Amino acid sequence: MKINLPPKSAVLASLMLACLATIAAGQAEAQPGKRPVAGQDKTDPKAESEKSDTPEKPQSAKEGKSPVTAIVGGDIYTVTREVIRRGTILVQDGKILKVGYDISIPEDAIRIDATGMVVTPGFVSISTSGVGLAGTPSTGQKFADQLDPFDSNVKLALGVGITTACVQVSSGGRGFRRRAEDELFPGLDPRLSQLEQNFASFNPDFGDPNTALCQCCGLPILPTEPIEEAAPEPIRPQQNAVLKMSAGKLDGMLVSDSVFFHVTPGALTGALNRHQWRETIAKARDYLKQQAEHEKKTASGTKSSPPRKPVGDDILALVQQKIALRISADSVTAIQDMIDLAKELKYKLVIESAIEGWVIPDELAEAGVSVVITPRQRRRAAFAQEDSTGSNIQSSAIYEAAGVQFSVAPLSDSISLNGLAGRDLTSLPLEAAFAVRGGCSEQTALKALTIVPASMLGLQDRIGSIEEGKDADLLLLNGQPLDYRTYVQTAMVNGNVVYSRVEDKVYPVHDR
Amino acid sequence: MSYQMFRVTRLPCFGCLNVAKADGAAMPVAAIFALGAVLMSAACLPAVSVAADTIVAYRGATIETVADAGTIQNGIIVVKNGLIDSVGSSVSIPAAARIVDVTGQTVMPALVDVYHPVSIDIGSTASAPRVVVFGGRTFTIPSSAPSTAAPFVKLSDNLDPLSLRRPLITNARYGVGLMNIVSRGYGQSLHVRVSPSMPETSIINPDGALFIAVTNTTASLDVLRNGLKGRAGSSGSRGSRGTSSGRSFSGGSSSGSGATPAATSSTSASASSTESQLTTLWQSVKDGKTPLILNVNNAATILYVLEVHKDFDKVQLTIVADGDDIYQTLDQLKESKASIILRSGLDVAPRSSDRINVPRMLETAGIQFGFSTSLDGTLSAMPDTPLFPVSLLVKTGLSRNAALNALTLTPAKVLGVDKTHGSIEAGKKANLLFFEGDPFAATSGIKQLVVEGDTVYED
Repeated sequence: MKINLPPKSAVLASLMLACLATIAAGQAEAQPGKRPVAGQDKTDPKAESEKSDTPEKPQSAKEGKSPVTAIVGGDIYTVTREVIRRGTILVQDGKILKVGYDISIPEDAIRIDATGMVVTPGFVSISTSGVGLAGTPSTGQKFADQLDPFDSNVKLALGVGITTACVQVSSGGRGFRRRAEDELFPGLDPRLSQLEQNFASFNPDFGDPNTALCQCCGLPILPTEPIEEAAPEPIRPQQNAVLKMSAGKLDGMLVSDSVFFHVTPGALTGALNRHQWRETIAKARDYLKQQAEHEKKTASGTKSSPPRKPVGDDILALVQQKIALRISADSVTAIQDMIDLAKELKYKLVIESAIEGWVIPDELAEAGVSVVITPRQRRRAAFAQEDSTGSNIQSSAIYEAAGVQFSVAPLSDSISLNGLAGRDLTSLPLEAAFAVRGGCSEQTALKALTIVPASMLGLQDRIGSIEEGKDADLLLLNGQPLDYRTYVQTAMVNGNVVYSRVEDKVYPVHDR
Repeated sequence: MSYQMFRVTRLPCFGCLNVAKADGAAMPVAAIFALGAVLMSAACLPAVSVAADTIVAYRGATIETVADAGTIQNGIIVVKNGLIDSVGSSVSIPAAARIVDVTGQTVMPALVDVYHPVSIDIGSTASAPRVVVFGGRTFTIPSSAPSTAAPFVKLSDNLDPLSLRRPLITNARYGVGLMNIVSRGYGQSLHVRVSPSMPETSIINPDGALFIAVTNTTASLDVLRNGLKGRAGSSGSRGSRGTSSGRSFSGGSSSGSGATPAATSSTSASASSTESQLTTLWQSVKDGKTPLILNVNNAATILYVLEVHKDFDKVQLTIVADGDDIYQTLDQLKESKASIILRSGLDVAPRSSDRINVPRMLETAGIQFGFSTSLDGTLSAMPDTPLFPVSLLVKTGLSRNAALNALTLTPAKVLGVDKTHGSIEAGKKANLLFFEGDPFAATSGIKQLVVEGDTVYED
């Protein structure tokens, strides 16, 4: 092993010592017959302390450049392009500088040896709660002030490869199981009531999950004729924020705070609600038209007063197709309903819990609607509801064939270390593996973890694949991405190594 | 022996002697007794140690000076008029001095507590958990964090010194000589000397540090941001409250409600004077003249605070880290010049059973830190043996010197009183803490506490 020491200064020498340790560790680990453990080198405490002892950023700082990290020798799953076997990725300033074969590595680059490993883009979780945010947000709070990069859930998410998460900030209003108590006693969640919990665990199948429960006896109120329409009230969308799992760093953690117009299932059902929704969209279009005219006039020097804004910025963004409407719809009827409404009002649509969407894949594809599925979720056709068809494990294959973009979400969107494993957010890659079991290709399943959710969030230019210029959110895996034996060895977010399995206590390190 | 004994003996001293000078005929009994005792100049009761010109020499102790002199074996401390006159191993003892033999004991400076919170809650919007019955079912509404920041409270205007009696008694048993008293929200602290028998004269500095309890919420962070950027409002985050719905407590329109908190009257009546007072205070903070003490309960908030602080490098920032995850921010803390106040004792790393020695990590990283005995540790201290948790830290790698500094001189520096407190040096106040033996021996107990020359607690 030969290392060229650039003869510049003692400062450089100490940096090179750090690099030397890096390389040495990498070499040692690359012994045949042993699974390589990367990341170890990068976080080797000795190397780290030596680096931090150097007074300023070394060499490259003098030349006005920040240091380059090189990930060498891994099989690179770019997702949007071909797989690059034993390729190289150069990372600088948190971005991917270069990716490919035969890339010359700068002398002073920090090397991460990925020989024998698979390199993928970081996974994107489309449904997340309770990760990276401190406390429950309340009125008047900016969630830019509420980030918690030290949340232990951030590390757990990284441990399964999630580097970006669309995190629920506050729940939406009007719809699923929200009743009078909630309005009377702010802060009270009726879902916490013991009676209701017991009732939920008993889980009778009454078909429609929107069935309201009687407040006195807890029994379901079955549909009777005539059903009284609830008076429409303004829709309060669920707030989401896109967070990078930048463990320990506030910088770059908040990626976006306007990602979906995320409404609860009940928000757009019923004639009155529907009418109000059409009115709202019409108002928004009117406003945009007036605003455009106003701007035109102002530009040409004519005096003009700006129009009053009748709706929120999120509705405007929806109408301008900057963000998508996200709603949960599980039955064919509900899904078709939402497709029709989206077509009529011309906005982008993302349907989650689209259990029966596999029945109308062509309609979904034609309307350009993407779906969030949980391949393991099963539901039988509902009793006495002719249009109900239930779930299908082959959904993923059907969507793939029809060209419907889908991403996967696990059974629960939060992280829990209690009870059975494989149900919470930490089973995200496993959930994608079940999409493969349903018949879609591994490539599509990997997309469902990366580029598809990235596009749903409108961040396809920043994350979701390994391409030059994109954020350096990378995973080093010790096997195939969707294999249940595979562990994340190293996770990198914005070019920083933020997770290293050798230091982790949850996903133990062992040879197999 | 308890404080009551001194309550009897201590009270007549200065006041009565002054009376005696003014009116010789009405010389009180205690003064005559005291004068008599000086004339006799014999080894006598502590009761006589309180006469005006008393000189006391403590002889034979191991002295931890927490100063350049380091540790002095078999040393002598001469105390005159509440101040340390001289200290050393071969100091001449004045003839008039009363000699106290403390051979075998170890004496260190009395502890300085940077952060002793008292409960003065004015107009907080936090709510306790409530249980309500609705439709025959019982619901528990969880407690809520304050949605708006607490109003500014100048403690010296709001605190009755007599209410300090109990904290003073307790803290004397913990070996504390000087306390910085804060409330739980936002305000200006006051310095108190631990003299349990005379709480009414215990306040020695009514204009202490500016303190804020900060969490990672917009409301509390805005108090800090607006203050430093010169937009301090008397009730904290006036601006950010604009969107909150009808929960603001200073709403003047609610004429009929008799339950308006005290804050309303204080903010409306003297609003303008408070505003100008605050502006002056913040300016003084920005100039580095008044220390800024932030109580921060998690690591994420430390990042937010340092983010704000980095633009104001003159600000003397102290972070009271009332949490167990501060060790995760070592790198960032190292960059800033903030001092850290920790609870004394071993911590448990969050979500694990690993014990961690955070002070040792800070020492290794070269970050200035102190201890506050008022913050609860995982293995908390007991009266009479208050340094037990610190002894565990010393046993697990914290250097003795760092531990001593963290208990005395660093807190004094943080409060800006290191010229008078925090070490045993000639000219400083005679705040002395005597231990049976080595203070960091696990079972070593307090023998006595001397505050400004007076023994306020004795075992």
